[in-house]
Amino acid sequence: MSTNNSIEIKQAPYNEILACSEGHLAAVIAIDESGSMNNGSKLQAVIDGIENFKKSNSSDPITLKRVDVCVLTFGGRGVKVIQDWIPMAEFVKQPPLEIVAEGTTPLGEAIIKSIELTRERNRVYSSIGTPAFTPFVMVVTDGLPSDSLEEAKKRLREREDQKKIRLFCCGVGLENTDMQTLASLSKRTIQCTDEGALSGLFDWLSESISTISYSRAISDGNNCQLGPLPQGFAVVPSDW
Amino acid sequence: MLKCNVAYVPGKHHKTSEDAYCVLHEEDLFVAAIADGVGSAKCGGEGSSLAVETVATFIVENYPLVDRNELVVKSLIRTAYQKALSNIKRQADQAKEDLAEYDTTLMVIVYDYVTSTFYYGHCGDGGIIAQQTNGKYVNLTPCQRVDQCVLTLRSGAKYWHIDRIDQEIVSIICATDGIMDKIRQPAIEDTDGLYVPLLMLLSDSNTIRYLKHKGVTLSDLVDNPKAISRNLVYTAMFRSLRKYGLNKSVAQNVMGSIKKSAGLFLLLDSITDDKTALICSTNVIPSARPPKYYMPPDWQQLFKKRRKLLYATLDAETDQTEIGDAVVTDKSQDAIRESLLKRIKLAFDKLLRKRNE
Repeated sequence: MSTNNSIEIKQAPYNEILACSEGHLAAVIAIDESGSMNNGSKLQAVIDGIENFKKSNSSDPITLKRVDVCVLTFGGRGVKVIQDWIPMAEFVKQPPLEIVAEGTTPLGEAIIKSIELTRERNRVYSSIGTPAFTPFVMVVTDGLPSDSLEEAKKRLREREDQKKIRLFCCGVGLENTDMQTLASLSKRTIQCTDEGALSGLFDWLSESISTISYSRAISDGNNCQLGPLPQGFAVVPSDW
Repeated sequence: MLKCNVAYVPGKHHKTSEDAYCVLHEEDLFVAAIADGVGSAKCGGEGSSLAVETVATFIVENYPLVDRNELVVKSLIRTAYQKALSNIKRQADQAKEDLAEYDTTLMVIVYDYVTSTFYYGHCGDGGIIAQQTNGKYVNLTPCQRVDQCVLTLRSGAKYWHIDRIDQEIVSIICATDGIMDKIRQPAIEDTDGLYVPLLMLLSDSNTIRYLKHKGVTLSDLVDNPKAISRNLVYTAMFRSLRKYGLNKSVAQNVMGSIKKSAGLFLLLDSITDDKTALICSTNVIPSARPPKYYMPPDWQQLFKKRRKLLYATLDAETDQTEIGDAVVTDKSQDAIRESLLKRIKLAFDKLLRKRNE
């Protein structure tokens, strides 16, 4: 019923009302698709891990509405966004990722792209008044970078110092000396000591993202403590 | 004489509030300060308490007896902010802590009874909103968040907004981000990004007075809105609308829309952060705005708009539907639907003709 002075108001579902002031967490997963990822079952373990990641997040109502996911790959075909920003609620419904491993490891370029993606994402959040958590980036790689890391290091340090990114770099099947190269890049470098446990990394990722998204946006979320790494993973000391 | 009401409630999962406020009411001067200790800072609560006490006391103790002009008062507020920062620095030094561990936002409202002038100071992600005599709500302060970081008192003088309020004011609400993030809804364009029903509920002196008379304080309202009778709240708001000058049927219509949209209680109940709001009101009753001004927004429309901004590619994908191997857009689907309808109509006409023959 409407009169001259009235406007018909439909009752919106509750989540549509709350969504307008809901905090968001931007999460980037960067996957190495260089040729060496074909050795053993590394690439398949990553793909399986992401499927587990979807499964464990699919029943968490807060994570589903607060986390936005973007997936990029880096390898012989350069750095590509294979999944543009998508809410977790939609990401969990996506079919398994199709990744073909070949060529080199442009890790530096992938880090720079991840920084740009998260930076741009937070600008979008800011423009529509959405409170944002510190973006979370998980990089999984099995090889030494084939490009220069200098620019990536510089930009990453800048963003990390300002608490504007939280980047984890996971090295799989790398010698200790090679891990040092990764550790010089990120202050959160993880060594996967057991390739068979690789998919467990994504359970940890799921838990971490959930912990952050349950905390208060802005203040607590940026400093909240994440759980211990799963078995088969070790933190590599960094010179940061 | 100004009236001041305060809501001060710790967040849902907090034992104590990291927010702080301080109200000093002198014969010729009113000063109210409110601050939000940053949650990730170890001593954010101490920082906010020290900030409000210092700034309010300093302003009262040093307010000029004569020559109360704009420049002098604004400069005094700026000095009070400096004083608050240096007191916090001293405290941090004594405790051998980093200054960042005492991070806090800080807002202050000053009303000079002699010159009938409002001033304010602001830094952080809280906010100050004033209602003008023409009934319009005006957001006086920007939400100071850069990326995901809040600009705090420590960010320095260049980020402190200190100004005089030039408009004629009926009331002012000054609140920390917990409440302010629900009031500020940038997607609501018609009301300059403000969710007016919530503002009416929290900052209208008539609404507050009526609820208080019925035994419901502002703190009760923000602490556990589910426990408060909705009818009581709606009645209070209805009475305010009538006082503004809206006729009965229009006011009923506005309230009908507010009840139906359900956003008011839902948003209030969804605040998990510490909730602190300070409302200063005069005796003046604002004029009525057009009824649409008080109506809730179309949340579904806002949701769609927001989703489009957040997930541009996702929307492009969902606009497409797969039919067999081909992917057709909504537009071509419409064309298919139209052509099907035409064919059905032709077949039907043919059948009718045959029957008639």
